[in-house]
Amino acid sequence: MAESTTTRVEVPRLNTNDDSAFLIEWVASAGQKVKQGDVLCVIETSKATVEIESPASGFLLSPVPAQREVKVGELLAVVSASLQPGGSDAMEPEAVSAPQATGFTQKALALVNRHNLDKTVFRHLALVREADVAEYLRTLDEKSAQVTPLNPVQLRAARVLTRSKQTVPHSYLSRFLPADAIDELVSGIAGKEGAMVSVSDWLAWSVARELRNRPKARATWSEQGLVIHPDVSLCVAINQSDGTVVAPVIRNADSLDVVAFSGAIRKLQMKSLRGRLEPEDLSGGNCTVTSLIGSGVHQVIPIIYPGQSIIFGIADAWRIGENGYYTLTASFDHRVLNGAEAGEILGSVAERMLGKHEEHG
Amino acid sequence: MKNTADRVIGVIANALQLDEAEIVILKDTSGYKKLRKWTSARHAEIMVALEDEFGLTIDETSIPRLVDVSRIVDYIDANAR
Repeated sequence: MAESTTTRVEVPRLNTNDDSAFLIEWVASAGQKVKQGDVLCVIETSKATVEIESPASGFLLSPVPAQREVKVGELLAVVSASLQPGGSDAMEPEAVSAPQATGFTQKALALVNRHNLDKTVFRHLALVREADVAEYLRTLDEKSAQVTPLNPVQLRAARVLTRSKQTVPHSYLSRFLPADAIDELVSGIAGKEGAMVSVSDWLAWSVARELRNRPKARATWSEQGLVIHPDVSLCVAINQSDGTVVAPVIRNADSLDVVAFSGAIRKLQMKSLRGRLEPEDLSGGNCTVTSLIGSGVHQVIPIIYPGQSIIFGIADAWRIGENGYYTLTASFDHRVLNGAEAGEILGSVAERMLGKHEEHG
Repeated sequence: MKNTADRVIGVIANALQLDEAEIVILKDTSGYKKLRKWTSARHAEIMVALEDEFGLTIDETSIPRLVDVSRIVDYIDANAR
């Protein structure tokens, strides 16, 4: 526990480049009783968002207004043993030398919490980064689990998936499709065209054709209203060799015949193999198809890509006796579509896959 | 000096990790339908390997139809620099 009765809370120097930071918000309020280590406020530099912890226990006093630039070393507030600084003891607030408030990056804090560490072991640092915590963990026990840093693609994918699950109300519908009928149909098309067309290709193409007539399936939800995208830009999920999944876009997907469509998917897979997918390949899609055919899994319940309203997934046929069934699942944004509408779309896609619609050319 | 067909067979056999029996099937023009290993995802790998082996870029519209050795050989002979 801090001995001094009034402790300054100052803006720490968080990196060599920034002489100032942006005070985003106070987490603790004026007059609030705080313990040493409690988060007082959140500041942001060019590189990170950092929570400032209280250097002492006491009452938070005179917090400066938030939502403005503050300079390194600037006084943010004081933590005083009593609600009236200077009232019950003789010490001047400025006479007290305070330990610099220690900042933790969000990743460092997550690691500290996960391992239930005592934060005071990092008192000597102005800013604690994930690497500092990882190093400390290594000194505790050489055999402890290593922190494997994530690359930017993995981090971005994690954020996208998390955002989707946190903000989009997902609902799910499935249809079981007779596998033999579909396999024969797709083989027949492939044979007739002298081309390679897979069941996954066939699903994606069927969805592309269906989307032509389904504006709400090409929509982005916003509170200002549904944004209906005029074109059919279909994302096709691809497993990359590093384990990440990306979903590059085929623009005007409904204008391609099924062989050209397969070619477009192969081309994107080739670009992925060469590590040459560009940002423009990965943005602008308004619906997604994913396939787990070949994985041994019988059903996939996919996660909707933020900005889209529906995603279709298919997996390996489930065989029981002589019969096999593909499970086709649609995950949809229940703010945009209701169950009946999504069910109709799913049903129509299923009928296309069973060859009950127009010719595949 | 290997001819084009032998090089193509080599590329595909390597990409798909084919055994001797499977290479025999590969040489048959409708072999791709019988080779379970030749999936659409592996087809992309084969195309990349052929581009590297022969130093060419395969155009998107041809990709789906390059499904047997003789068609691939014809394409390469027509397009290799």
